[in-house]
Amino acid sequence: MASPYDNAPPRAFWRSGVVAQDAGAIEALYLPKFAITRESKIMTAGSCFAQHLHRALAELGWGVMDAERLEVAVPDDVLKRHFYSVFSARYGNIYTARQLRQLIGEALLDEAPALPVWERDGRYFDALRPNVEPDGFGAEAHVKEARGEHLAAVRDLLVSADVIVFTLGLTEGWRHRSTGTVYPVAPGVIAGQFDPDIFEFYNAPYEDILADMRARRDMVRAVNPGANFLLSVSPVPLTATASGKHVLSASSYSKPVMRSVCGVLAGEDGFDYFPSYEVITSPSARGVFFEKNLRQPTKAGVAAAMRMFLAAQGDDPEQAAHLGEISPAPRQTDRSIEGEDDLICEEAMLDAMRPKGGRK
Amino acid sequence: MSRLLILGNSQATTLRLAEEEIAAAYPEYDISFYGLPAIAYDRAYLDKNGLFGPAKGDRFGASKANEWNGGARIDLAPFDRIFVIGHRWRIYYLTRLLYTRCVHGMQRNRQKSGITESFLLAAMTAWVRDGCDEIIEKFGANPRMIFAPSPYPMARAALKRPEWEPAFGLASRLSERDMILDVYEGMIADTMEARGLHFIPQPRETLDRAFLTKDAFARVPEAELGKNGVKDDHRHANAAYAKILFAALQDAMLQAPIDKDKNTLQPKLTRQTKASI
Repeated sequence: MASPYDNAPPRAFWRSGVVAQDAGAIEALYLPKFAITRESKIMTAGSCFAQHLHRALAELGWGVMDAERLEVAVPDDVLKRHFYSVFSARYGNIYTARQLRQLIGEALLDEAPALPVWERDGRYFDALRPNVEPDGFGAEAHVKEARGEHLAAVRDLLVSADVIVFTLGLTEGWRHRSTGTVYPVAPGVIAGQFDPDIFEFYNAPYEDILADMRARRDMVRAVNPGANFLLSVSPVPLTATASGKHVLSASSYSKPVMRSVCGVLAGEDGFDYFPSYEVITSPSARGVFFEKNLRQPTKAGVAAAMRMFLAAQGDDPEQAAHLGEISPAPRQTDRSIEGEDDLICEEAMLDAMRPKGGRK
Repeated sequence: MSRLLILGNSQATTLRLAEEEIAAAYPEYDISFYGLPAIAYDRAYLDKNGLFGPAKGDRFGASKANEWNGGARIDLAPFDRIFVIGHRWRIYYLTRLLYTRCVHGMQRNRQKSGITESFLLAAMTAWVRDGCDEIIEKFGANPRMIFAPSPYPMARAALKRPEWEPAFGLASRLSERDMILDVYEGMIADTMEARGLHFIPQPRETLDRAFLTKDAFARVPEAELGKNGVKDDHRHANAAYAKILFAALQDAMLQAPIDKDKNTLQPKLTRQTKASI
C-alpha cells in the first residue's frame, strides 16, 4: 500500500535530513523562492543577529546597501559603537515587527511616533534608536534634525532595495499606552523615565506580527514593486523577560511565534524565509554554534548559515569559511558586554542591570 | 655638545634647508639628518640592533636612503635627542570628516548630514590613538624622541587650484576651527605623553589660521609654482619655518632635559600653551 511519504526526498525524513547530515551543512534546508545575486541591492535590518548577516554579506562582497556610510575611514570600534555600517542605515537594532512597521510608516508616510526624544543627565536621545548615539545629543532639536536625515536615508533604501533582509528578534517590547508607539528598549534603561501610566509591556501575538509584516510589504511595494523580504528569526534567546515567566519559557514562546509567522509569510508573495535559526539551534549541532553564554552564535555558526545562503544562491559556499579573516577583528572596547563579541544589543544592557546576588 | 638627529620623511628636509643657520644659532648641538620618502618612511622600521631604515626588500627606499643620507640605515643609539618630523595622526581623516559632514550644534550646512560632537570626539580620539600606536610600533617608547607634525597645508591650498586641499580649506573656515584644532592637538599631546612620548604642535606663529600655514612659509613661492617644471607643492615648508620649528624644539628640549646617567626624562614635558590663534 502506497504512503504519501514514499516518494518524499531525503530532506523530508529526520534520519536522512538531520541525523545523517553535517550540522554545519544541512542539505536542502534553504530552497530560495527568489534569486539574490551579488548585484542585488540588499537592505539589512533586524535584531543583533542581523548584524552578523550584514557583516558577513558585506565581507563576502555582496551588494549590501549602506545609506549612511561615512566617507572617511573611522576605526571599527567607533563606527560600531555609533551604529555606522552595522546595518544599511543607522536605525540600531530593530527587534520586533512592530518597530519595523513603525519605521517604514515614519519614513514613507511621515507617521509620527509618540515621545520621540528621551533625556538623561542633560543629554538627549532618539527614543526609537537610543543606542546609535551612546552619549546622546546636546539638544532636543539636534535629535529631531538627525532623525529627519536618518528617515530620508531609510526612504532611499526602501524605494531602491531589491531585497530587504529582516531578522525578527523579539516579541516582547515596550509601548506608549495611548498611541501604540513601540520602543527598542524600555524607558529608563538608556534614557528617559519609566512611567507605568504612560508605557506598558507589549508581547506581540502572532496575529499582530503577521499583520505588521503584511502591511509593510504592501507599503514598500507601493513605492518599490520589485522589493522582496527575506525573513529570518534570530536564534539568540531572550536575555531577560518582562512577561513574568521564566526566561527560558518566555524565549521558547517568543521564537516559535516569530518562526510560525515566517512560515506563513514564506508562502506569500514578496516573502521568503532564510532558516539560519534552524542551522544554529538544530539538535544536530548539539549547542556548538552557541558561545559560552548560551546566547550568541559562534563564528562557526554564522559561517554555517552563510555557507547555506551562498550554496543555495549558486555562489561558492567555501567563501564563508574565511569570514572574519577579510577585515581585521574589531578592537575590544570598554563597552563590550560579557561575551557579546562586538555586537551592540540594547537588550544585553538588561543583563547588566540584573540584580546581583543570585536573587530567585 | 649634544648629538641631535633630525629624522623623518620628506618633511625632515625642511630643517635641512636651514642647516647652516641652525648650526650657527645653536652651536651646542651636533646635528645629523636622516630622511626617507614618505612611502619608504611609512614602512621603515627599527631593527633589533637599534638601526632604523627601509623595510626589507624595499629597494626604492634603500636607494633613496643611500642617496639622501649616505647610508641605508642609521644607528639611533649615539644620539642624545631625536627629533621626528612628518607624522600626521590622521589629520587628513579629521579634515575629510569635517568636509563631508556637519556637526550638530556647530556651523551648519543643510546639504550635509550631521554627526554629533561626541562622535567627532570619539573619532578623533581613535585616530590619535592609532597614530600614537603606530609610533610606538615603529620606535617603541623612546624618551629621547620628540615628535612634530607635518605642517598644515599652505593657506593658498584653500583656493581652487592644482593640488588644492578643499578639506583643509573648509576646516579653516568653520567658526569652531580654533576649538577643534586645540582639542585635536591637545589629544595628541596627552596621548603621546601617556605613552611616554613627546609632541610639539606646529608653532602658532606659522599658522595663517587653524588648519592652514601662512603662505610666507611655503617652500615653493607662489611665483614659481608651475614654472620650469616646478610642481605645485602646498605641503612643504621653507627654511624660515624650519628656524621657528627648531626654536620650538629647543624650548621643548630645555623643558625636558635627558638625564644621561639614567637615560630617562626629567621632568615631564609640559604641553605648549595653546594660545588662541
